[in-house]
Amino acid sequence: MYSILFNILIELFGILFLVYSFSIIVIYLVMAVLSALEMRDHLRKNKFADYKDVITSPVSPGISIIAPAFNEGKNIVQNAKSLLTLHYGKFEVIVINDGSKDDTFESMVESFDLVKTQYAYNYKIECKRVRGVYKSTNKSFSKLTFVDKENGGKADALNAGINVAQNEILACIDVDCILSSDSLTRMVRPFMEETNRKVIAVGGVIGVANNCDVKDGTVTKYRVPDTLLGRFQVIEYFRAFLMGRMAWTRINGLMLISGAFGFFNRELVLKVGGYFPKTVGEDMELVVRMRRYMYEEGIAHKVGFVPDPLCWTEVPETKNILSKQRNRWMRGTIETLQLHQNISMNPKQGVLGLVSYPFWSIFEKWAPLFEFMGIIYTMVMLFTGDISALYFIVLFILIYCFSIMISSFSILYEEIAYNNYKDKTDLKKLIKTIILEPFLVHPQLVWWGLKGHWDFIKGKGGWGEMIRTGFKKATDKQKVSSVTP
Amino acid sequence: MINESGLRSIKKLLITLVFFNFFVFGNLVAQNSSITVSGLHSVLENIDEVPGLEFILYFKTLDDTTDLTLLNFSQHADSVNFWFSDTIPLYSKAVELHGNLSRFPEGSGSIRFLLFKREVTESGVVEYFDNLIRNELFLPTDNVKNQFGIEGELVVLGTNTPFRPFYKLKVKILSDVKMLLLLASLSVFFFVSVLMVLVMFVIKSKKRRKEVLTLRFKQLCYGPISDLLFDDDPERLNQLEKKDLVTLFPKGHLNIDLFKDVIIQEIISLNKNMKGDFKTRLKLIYRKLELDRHSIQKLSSKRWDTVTSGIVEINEMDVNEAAPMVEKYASHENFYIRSNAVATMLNISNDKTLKVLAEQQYPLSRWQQMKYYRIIKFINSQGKVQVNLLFESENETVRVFGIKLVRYLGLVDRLPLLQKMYESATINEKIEILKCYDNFNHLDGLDDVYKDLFTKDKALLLNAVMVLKNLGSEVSTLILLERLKKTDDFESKMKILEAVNALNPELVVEGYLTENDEDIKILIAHIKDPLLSHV
Repeated sequence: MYSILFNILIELFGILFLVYSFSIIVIYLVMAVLSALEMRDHLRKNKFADYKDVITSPVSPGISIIAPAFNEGKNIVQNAKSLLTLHYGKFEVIVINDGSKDDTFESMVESFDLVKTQYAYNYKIECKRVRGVYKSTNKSFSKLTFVDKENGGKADALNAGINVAQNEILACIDVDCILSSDSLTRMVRPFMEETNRKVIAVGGVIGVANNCDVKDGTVTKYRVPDTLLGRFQVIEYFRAFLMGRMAWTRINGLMLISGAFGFFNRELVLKVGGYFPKTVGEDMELVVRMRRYMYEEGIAHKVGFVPDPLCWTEVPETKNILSKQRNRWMRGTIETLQLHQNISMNPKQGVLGLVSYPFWSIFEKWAPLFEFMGIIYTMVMLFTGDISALYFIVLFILIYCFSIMISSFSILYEEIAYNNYKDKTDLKKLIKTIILEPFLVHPQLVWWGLKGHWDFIKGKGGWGEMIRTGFKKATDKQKVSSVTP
Repeated sequence: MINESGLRSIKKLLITLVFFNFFVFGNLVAQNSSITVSGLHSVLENIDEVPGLEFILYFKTLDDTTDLTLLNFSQHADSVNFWFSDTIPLYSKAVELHGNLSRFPEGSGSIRFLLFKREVTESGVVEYFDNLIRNELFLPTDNVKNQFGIEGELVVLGTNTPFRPFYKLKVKILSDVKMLLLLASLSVFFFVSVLMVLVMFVIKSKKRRKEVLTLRFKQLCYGPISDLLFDDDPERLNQLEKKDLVTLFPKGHLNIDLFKDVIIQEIISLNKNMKGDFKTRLKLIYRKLELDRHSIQKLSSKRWDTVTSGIVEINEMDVNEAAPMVEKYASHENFYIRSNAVATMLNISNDKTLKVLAEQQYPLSRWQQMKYYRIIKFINSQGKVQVNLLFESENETVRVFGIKLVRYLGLVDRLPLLQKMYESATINEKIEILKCYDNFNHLDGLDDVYKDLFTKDKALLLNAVMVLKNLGSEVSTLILLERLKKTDDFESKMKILEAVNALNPELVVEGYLTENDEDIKILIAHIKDPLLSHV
């Protein structure tokens, strides 16, 4: 009925989708095993760790907590106070007001008795103009430094904070995150355990705080959110953190540390030029650039991950905000991969170039496009009648079961390792979400991902050319002016 | 030459052609009617049964007396002149029967076509044939065999031959392979996932069971341990033997490994929180119950965490006789085994020369240093440790740790030795030695500081400046000002100015130093700001 070319294309696409689906299944099964092994080792290692010593030991590294704030007037004071009460010996808290339009600045100045200082601000990493560095006249808040600057976005604000940071380890966090009191001692451990390989960064798990009880900066009672989108994100975070990142840690292929809770070696961050404000995926981009630098310099290194529940955040529960977040994440991924296209399949870039980068390209960046094309393909096949009902049903069942299995594993991991959601009703709600997710939430994610691709093509953000051409070397970032878009 | 717009037009044309090529509806051979009404009879005569197609003969007679019962015809119930045959599956049989009817000239017979028991016309039969052939449900093979080479029947031959273009054949195979792959992946998936789920549930139930048992065992051992620990007669415990102690615990429980582990953990936990005589008693209970054997036994396990927990128990309970066994693990490749073994050796060997540490081949992590420092601090409180061996270690991280210990433990008498080492020391060692000079106000070391004040290594420079800030003299101020001129680094300028300001604040004023250097102006303002004195 149709031309030869049409038939060949149909067949080729059929094979492509089959190979793609098969690869996803195999890769995720391998990841499930790897993450289980890593989790087992982590729990065993935890038995022998005495974190009390870390707080007071003179050997422990100093930490600079960097928390950018934009229009956070309502909670900024409470959040900053919470950060100042963390259990650790040597640390400072740097809050950056990124040109907020609300009363963030006034609230901070008033609540902490802040006074503008003659701070000799050094623009080691380029950032928007710093209007002033403030210190408190109250000695109780001596650990607090407040930086007031012109608006330049999160990455720019982080860079402004890095320029002020004094300590060896940078803890870059979202100011609205809830941190457990022992979060610093636990996160610093991989840095302290460094022997042959330099630990350049450490990521942590982000928990969903919606609907949970919070007391003294720690989640005391876990409850799953009431909305489907909220519950979906609980499962998604389990999948991403307890499965995905644990598995990548096992093979030292971690490419992403959440921007809401990431620890970095300050010296190295300065060497590579800090965050790149021209991308919306600044957290991923920095990790890739740091790793790339280490490979280029031939230095053995490691990116660590701590799966203990130490940080919580409120996740968006409305479609509008969630769609914007996912759109941003997709653009961030595309931009980072585009910026570092030179490392793809480059044996000199080790696991990063040979495994992590291709995985992110094929199974994260291209996933929405493949899925969308799959839907089109299926419709064409239905239209032409050239589809085997058996084939279709078997494939559908396979993918659906697979999705349920992976989500179930992630819940089981959480249950075995931490068991935070103790209420059986919560568990039932999560299982219900797992069953519904592929039909009700996943199609929306695909759509938002596609929109992310479309926005990238349109050049949303206005950073165009640089991102398309990419960095030839990790240190090339310093040659790019970060300040002007 | 074709210009750019021309090229673009050609590209567009090509794309359009390719695009339309998708939708060019080719003519499938089977779509053309391969059998015509006129040729139907000859086709039917040469084929076997066709599914769904049958034939019937009608015979109309003018004579009421005609009887066709011998030919198996039946008479119509309403008309005596109308006869009809049984349904016949083969057309050739129907034609033969029709020939037999010629013996009855008083009437006329005809062959009718029945398609699924319903009468149809010849064109209906032709259409039905086309459908069957197109869907490959019926292939009149006899036709091919019998009529091969007959003129004019080539079309019928072509139609009847199951035509499969080359690509179509490939597609067919690939389709099978796809299904094969799909089924294989489905099987693998189900097998692996069922296996994984089972493993997970086994782990979960084992963990749950262990938790429940641990809790129960804890409750069971609280009483006996408390009784022994808080017994009014301190001598009684010494007199008791294992068999006496065993009776205090539930029967047979002391043979269970988990129970032993729980008791050990309870004893260790109490030992950490208690002091003096109670510590001795706890260790005595541990030994009298022969739990030390259980701890030593763990050292031969294949699991690294079991070996490590054995080492930790030996450490906490001071099982000195296990030292030779633990020493073997001091250079183990596993970080946790190695670091705990070294910590245990430091603790139980009572070797104040820290030999086990000096012999370490692997780099010392800060985690290990933190752990060892706690133990060494304790040993030092009972009599001074000798860190000299650490300075002689081949491992740089050990030497650096040794220098750190001088500072942490206040070993001032080692400063001359450090001063001797300085010349040949590495950057990291030098930095630590400078920190020692600074910490202990070691003025004799100032010469070393001056030597490295012009180093290219920023960390070393900043530490040297720091020493001068605290120990320097007027000479130092001059040297620092000299150094200031030779640096463009903002942070170095800041530290040097801070040092100069500490030594002679009158020098650090705008106008005296600034000239046209904007950085210096900013830095002076910073240094003079009281709120920033500790930043």
